[in-house]
Amino acid sequence: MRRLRHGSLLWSLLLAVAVVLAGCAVGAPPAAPAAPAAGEAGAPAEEAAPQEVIELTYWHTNPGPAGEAQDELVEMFNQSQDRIRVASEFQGGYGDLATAILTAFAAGEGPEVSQLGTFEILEFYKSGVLVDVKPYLDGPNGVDTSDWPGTMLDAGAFDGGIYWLPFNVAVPVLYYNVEAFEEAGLPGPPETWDQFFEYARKLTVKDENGNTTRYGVAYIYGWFSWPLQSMIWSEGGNITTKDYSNITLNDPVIVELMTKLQDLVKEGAAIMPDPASGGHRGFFKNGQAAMILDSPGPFADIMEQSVGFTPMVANYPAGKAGRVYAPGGGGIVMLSTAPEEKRDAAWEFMKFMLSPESIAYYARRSGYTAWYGRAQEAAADLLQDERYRIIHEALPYLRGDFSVNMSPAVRTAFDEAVAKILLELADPQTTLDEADAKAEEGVKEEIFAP
Amino acid sequence: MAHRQTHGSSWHRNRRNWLTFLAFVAPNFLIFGVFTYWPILYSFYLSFNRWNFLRPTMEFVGLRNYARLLQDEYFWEVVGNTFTYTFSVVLIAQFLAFLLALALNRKVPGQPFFRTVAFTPHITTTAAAALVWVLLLDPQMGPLSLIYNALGVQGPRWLVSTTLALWAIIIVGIWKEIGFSSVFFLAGLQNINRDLYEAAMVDGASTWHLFRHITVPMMTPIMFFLMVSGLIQAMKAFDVVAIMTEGGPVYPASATYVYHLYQLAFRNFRAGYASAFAMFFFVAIIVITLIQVRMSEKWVQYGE
Repeated sequence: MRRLRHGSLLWSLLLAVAVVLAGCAVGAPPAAPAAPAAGEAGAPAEEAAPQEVIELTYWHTNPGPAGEAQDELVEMFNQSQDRIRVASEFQGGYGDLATAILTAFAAGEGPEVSQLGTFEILEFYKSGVLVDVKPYLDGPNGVDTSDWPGTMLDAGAFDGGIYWLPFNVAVPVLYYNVEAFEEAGLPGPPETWDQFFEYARKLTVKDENGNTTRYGVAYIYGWFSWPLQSMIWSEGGNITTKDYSNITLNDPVIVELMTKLQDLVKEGAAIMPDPASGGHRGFFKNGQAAMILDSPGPFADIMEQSVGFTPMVANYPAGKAGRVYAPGGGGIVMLSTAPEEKRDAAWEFMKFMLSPESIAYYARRSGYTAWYGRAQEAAADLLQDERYRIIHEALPYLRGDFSVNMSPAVRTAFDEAVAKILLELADPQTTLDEADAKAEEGVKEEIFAP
Repeated sequence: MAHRQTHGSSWHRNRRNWLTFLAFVAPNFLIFGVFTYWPILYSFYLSFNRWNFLRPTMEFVGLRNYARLLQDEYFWEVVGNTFTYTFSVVLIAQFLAFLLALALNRKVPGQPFFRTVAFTPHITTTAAAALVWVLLLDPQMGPLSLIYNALGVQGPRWLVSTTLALWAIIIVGIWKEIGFSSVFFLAGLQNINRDLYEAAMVDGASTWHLFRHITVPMMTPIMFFLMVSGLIQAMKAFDVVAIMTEGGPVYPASATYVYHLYQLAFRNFRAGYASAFAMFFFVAIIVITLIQVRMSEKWVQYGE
């Protein structure tokens, strides 16, 4: 009797363990159930090998149409052939996507192909997360990159390989209020950064108490460092070398530009609005700011929602070094967790996503650019609109250099300095000196320390 | 012989008890083991290494992460922010919750409605609550702007001010905490034996004396519980920061400890260093809780 009871106790113990383990199994990643399916498919495959379908997973970011359009492209790819089937999965924002890749990689799994922002490219490359696609790119089933703009191919190039290819490319866009410009007697959008500062003052309107009712320009809260990069590069300045051996956050060009931008704030000609009020875009759409430096992202919203004036687009002005623009957006990568036997198929899919037709389709649906020559030909209908044509004129000037984004130390030091100077009105020289020292110190801790 | 037999059966009974105990404890222990103790131990191990989650090998760095931590200005800033956040939220929320509970404890019409209203913030998703507060505090669109406009003053720009951003987060923290604490206080108030009040009233005690010498002492165990749980909860604040300010406007002006830890680990890929942060936090919470327990002996009154 006692034995029996002991036995039942032990059984209940084992049962409890089993329940817990079963619970763990339920919580296991969705990849697990796929395994038996592959096994089942494996058996008959021996008889009819050529019929075997290669299953791939593609992870992407971008909510709304820019994300849906990727699902649609994946569906088109699946429809276009019967050898490869891709499952498209949304993973949240750029940061969430990177974290998802990180955890999947640590567990030795993950998608074969993924979209990837610009922040993580170098860290992922240095850690062996990304596959060198140069052999595919240059191979017999390669992609013609001869009409890719600027130096976009350099963005993901490290140590002779290419690990990241641009996919959703944004260019800098200056939005301006046509009537405000006419009122101020200005002939058109600023051609140079000097004109930009001059115009910002002329466009500012104040009431009898000296309070600004219309700012010349509204700065972006949170990511103003992106338009700043174009500004700095165009004026011949540099923030860091690509290998971080020379970080120059206190480059005289940067100090001068930041001082000028701060002066506008002090004079009431510029503001960095609160994000909740709709931020810089809200200020522009309500006619409270005559210019904003942004991307093609909000194009549709701005054109539809602007009240009481005509919004128009222009390229960013040129500086002493001409036009040098910082690209925005993201790219596409193959992950090293992809098994060898699936990599050709993964490339096939990447090639499809990068085809002129896909990029043109994506541009139509998402607001990103048809960023290379043949894609623009495929999107000729879109470019008949003068505004899209103007936006696309920026493409040849893109500098494929994400070094500021890729180093957390440089990126955060720069962002903090920008916020300090434009929100707290801290002294630009001192702030940038401190930021430079902080970035130099911080980069030593990163895996790509020079 | 008889003695041995007794001894044997007691051992058997003990063994049986022991096995029963194990059978009941095992599932929980396994869950805690896998999802709590193992990560803590692993994090402890990571804190002596330099690693980015991705590379196949870790670099052992001994105590360097801890040494660096003490020299890191972000560390001290987020410790300061977390300290300000935690104590403000816990003390102000508890005080207001206690007042609210006293008010709700009276027999007023519609009392259940007011109780529900008071508790609602606690069950509201933090993300939604934080977003609502972002709009409320907005100097241009928020309802507060109506007041500012009526007064003819420029409203403060809470979320883009380095001094006010943290307080915006604290306000949301307090708002969410009040409902939770007030329900506990209310339960406590209703548990106080009426006889105590009646006896005191017979002795001629005033309302203030009833409150001071019966209500407050009888509520101390609940205050203590809410203090300990509230402090731990507040120290872990993350979501409000992530939604309202992302630690800005000039990082880390409004970043809390856990938010910064997350940034270090998952945005900057510094698993080892972030683990050192986590270990420090782990020890800090234990120490603070122990101090609270020790101090509670002086002021918490158990029983009547």
